[in-house]
Amino acid sequence: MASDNPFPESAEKNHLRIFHLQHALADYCESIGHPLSYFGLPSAEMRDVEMWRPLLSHITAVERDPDVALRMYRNAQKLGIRDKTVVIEMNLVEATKLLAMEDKEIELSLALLPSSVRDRITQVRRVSHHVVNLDLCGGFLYPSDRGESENAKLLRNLINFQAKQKTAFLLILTFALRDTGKDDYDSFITETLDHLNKLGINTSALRKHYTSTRSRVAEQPPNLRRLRFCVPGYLHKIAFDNFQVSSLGAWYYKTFYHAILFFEPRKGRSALGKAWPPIDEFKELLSAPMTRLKVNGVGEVIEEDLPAPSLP
Amino acid sequence: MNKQYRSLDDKFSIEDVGSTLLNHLAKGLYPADEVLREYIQNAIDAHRLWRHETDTEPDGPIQIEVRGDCLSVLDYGIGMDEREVRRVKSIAVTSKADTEIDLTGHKGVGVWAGLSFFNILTLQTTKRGLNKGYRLTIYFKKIVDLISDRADIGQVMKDNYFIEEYNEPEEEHYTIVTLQDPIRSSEWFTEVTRVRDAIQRICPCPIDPNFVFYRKLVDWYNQHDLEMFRIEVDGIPIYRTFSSAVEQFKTSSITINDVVVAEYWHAIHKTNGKMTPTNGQQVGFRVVQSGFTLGELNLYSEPMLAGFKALNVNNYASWYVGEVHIVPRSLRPNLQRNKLEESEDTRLFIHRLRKFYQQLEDTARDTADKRNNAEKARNILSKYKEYEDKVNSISNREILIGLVQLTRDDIDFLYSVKHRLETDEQAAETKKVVHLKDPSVKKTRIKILGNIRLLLERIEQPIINIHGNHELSTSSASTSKSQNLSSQANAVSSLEPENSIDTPPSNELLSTLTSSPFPSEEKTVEGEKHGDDVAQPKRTMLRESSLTNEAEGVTTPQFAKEDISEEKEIMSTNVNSTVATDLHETSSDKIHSKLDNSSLETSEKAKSSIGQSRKIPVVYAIGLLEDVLSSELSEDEDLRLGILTKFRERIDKVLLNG
Repeated sequence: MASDNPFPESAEKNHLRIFHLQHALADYCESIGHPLSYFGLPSAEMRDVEMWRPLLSHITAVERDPDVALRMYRNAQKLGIRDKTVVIEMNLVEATKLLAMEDKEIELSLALLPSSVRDRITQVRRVSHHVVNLDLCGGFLYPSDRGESENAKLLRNLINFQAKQKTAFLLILTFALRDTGKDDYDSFITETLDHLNKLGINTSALRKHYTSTRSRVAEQPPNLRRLRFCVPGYLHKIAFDNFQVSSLGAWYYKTFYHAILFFEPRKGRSALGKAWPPIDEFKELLSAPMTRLKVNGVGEVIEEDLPAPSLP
Repeated sequence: MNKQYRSLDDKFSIEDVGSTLLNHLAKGLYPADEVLREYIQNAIDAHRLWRHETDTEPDGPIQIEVRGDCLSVLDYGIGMDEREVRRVKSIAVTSKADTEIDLTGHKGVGVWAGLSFFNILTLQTTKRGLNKGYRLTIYFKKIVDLISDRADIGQVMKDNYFIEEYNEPEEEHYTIVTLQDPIRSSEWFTEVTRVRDAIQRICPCPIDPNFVFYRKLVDWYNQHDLEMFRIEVDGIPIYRTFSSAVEQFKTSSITINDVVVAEYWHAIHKTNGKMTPTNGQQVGFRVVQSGFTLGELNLYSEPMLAGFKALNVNNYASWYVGEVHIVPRSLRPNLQRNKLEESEDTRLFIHRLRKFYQQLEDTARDTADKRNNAEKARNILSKYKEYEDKVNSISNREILIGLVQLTRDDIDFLYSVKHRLETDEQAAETKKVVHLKDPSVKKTRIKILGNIRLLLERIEQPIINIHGNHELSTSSASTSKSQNLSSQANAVSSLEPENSIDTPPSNELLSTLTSSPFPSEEKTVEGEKHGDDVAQPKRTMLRESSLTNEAEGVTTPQFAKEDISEEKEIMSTNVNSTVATDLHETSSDKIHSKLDNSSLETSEKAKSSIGQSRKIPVVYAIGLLEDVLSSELSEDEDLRLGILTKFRERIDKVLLNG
């Protein structure tokens, strides 16, 4: 069976799953006292789900390829989680759009769908997801031909959906470094740092690190540095009204960037009307460590910190 | 896409096509649920073959995935290799008839069942040991559009189907049929609940573990080698469900010339009446062939069926849940699986099946009658138990070893119950009142009657026997207690010459008997004489103004209802006066209706039942003594009275000491 999975299995990926992501899920599970509901784009083999199975009570999988979906049904059956699994066979952006819609708006949209899809969307709209795991192809900031990037749309939809549920959640994101979109990343970095400058904050070290055109800065290629800044920064920005975002870590191996962020509904006074970014929160985000995963000569995965400057 | 498919050459030849079937299929002769059944049946046959060949269970259940505009049937059965995939596209050319095990599909309809229902069919399959899988794609709609009587089959099929292969691990074995884009009756394939209901109704899914006869039914299935297959729709297991409001699980078989043609089981509704199916529960009978339901429920149970004797049925089938599993393979379903193919065997089978329905009808009627009678018996028994308890409580109100106190209420009650029980007894003997003939009802009735008669006998017979004529007491100048007692007794005997305990005394007699044989003044004096004002029972006087003592020639007004009630209360707490008033209460049948049956408090001491030891009313004991003394000491009245007084004192003493 040939696989054209853009996020192939590797020792590093497995290491990350076992030693970092699983721990994050287990901690969250323990803190809320019950298993987690999962939303994601699993592969046909559902490896993540297979590994985290004991921690999960519900799985929402979005997959538009009927062939992959079919295999997902088979694998879910083999893993004994078919009864916990809902597969939404449609485009992720469309799916998240339907999930994020207000109740009064959705009737018409649902009416156009086949009844089984309608039932599943309705079912999933009632679920509060604790883990969102997305492997995203392409950048997420660059504009698509029609305007906003598809990935940016779906992330915005997802955050809106989660905001309706008022549930804290873990967002696990994976990006391929080779994807395009550097100009838009750079724009976002520059705009953000300019804004911080206006607030009287010295951002020269940050600017030097994140906007450098050098091929490697502190062992980090340009796209990795861009993603390291933009993923938490952008998500923090679009979730600002509803969530307080903290980084639980970021990893880099081969050509992939992984981040795990924790979104917690804002307590007390709403952030509405407040200026973004709030310095403390943003500083914490940028200070989050990033780890490089690498397989050594004897096949072991070793971890190495990748430093980056933060706000003074 | 995770799989890379490589095209394989294939041609459609006339050998691939059965005579008229394609046309039938194109015209949509199959009902929608039967189309679904056909694909699930193929999956089940694949699981059957897997079990047969490997002697193990398949890796998973048959999975039905309702997926928007398509529906997939996944099985983990035997799977197919390239040769079999090429053959599976054949129409009405089945290979299943060659197998030695009992497969459901024989018609060769196979993958073509949905021809007029879907746009595209894809079949993906692989067999254990192969490192390849195969995908067959057929463009149903395009084929239907091209089919005509003159069409060349090769031309019709050309470019409208293709077979591909792909890599697959050797250990895999499965077949997945995906029906895409329904053209008509789409609700049958895209609505999960409909799909679920159809499968539950038609397919050999496992029995619902919550069914009240689950264990017995599973055992019965195993005993008859009837297979069940796990089927899930969208990950939810489907069960064959039956109403659990049933009882009397029965199994047997239908035979023709001593050959078993069907095995059946059934259970009947717990209460009389039809069952209402809920949550997909089956009510009635389904005829099953190779695990799949044939036609509608209660197949061939119509009152009038051409070529068969009319049935005298009245929908009693819906009082039952059950299944009739056809045994011989010669009894085959027709193409639509809504009935059996016509044949002499089929005709005989239908004849026997209709007879079976008729028997059920008769059984249901009998059961209904039995239940009605049992219900009536239960009710009457419960009433009898009430009587029995009260009779026992009366009997147990023992005031002295062997002596029982009876109040007027008691006696009223005893008479009315006696009357009722004797009426019942008579009805049970002479009429068809089945519930009254019930053994436990009868036994209880006889027991209670015996007890009542015993109690009543002690009141009436001794008095009559002791004082054969009333002159004895009426001629006596004595106003002693015993004389009063005697006079009362005589009054009874004289006014009730038949001495029938069935004949209640007249009102006249009742008014005559109202007076206490023990003057209340004396009772009070006696009570004081014994110096007991604590434990001694209260000796309340009866209202003397309302009393009549015929012996003394005093006439008082008739009993007023209120008076009776008032007295009843008084008497219920007065031991000695109760003893006395027993007499006048003896025959108060006429005032039954005027008296309520308020229960009396039972003595804490009361333990033994009347049937276990004979207990003598106090009045009888005193009367008996007086009788003896009169005959033995007739000359010495002082001595006689002395003995009687001492006897009474002794009784009082015993009473006082509890």
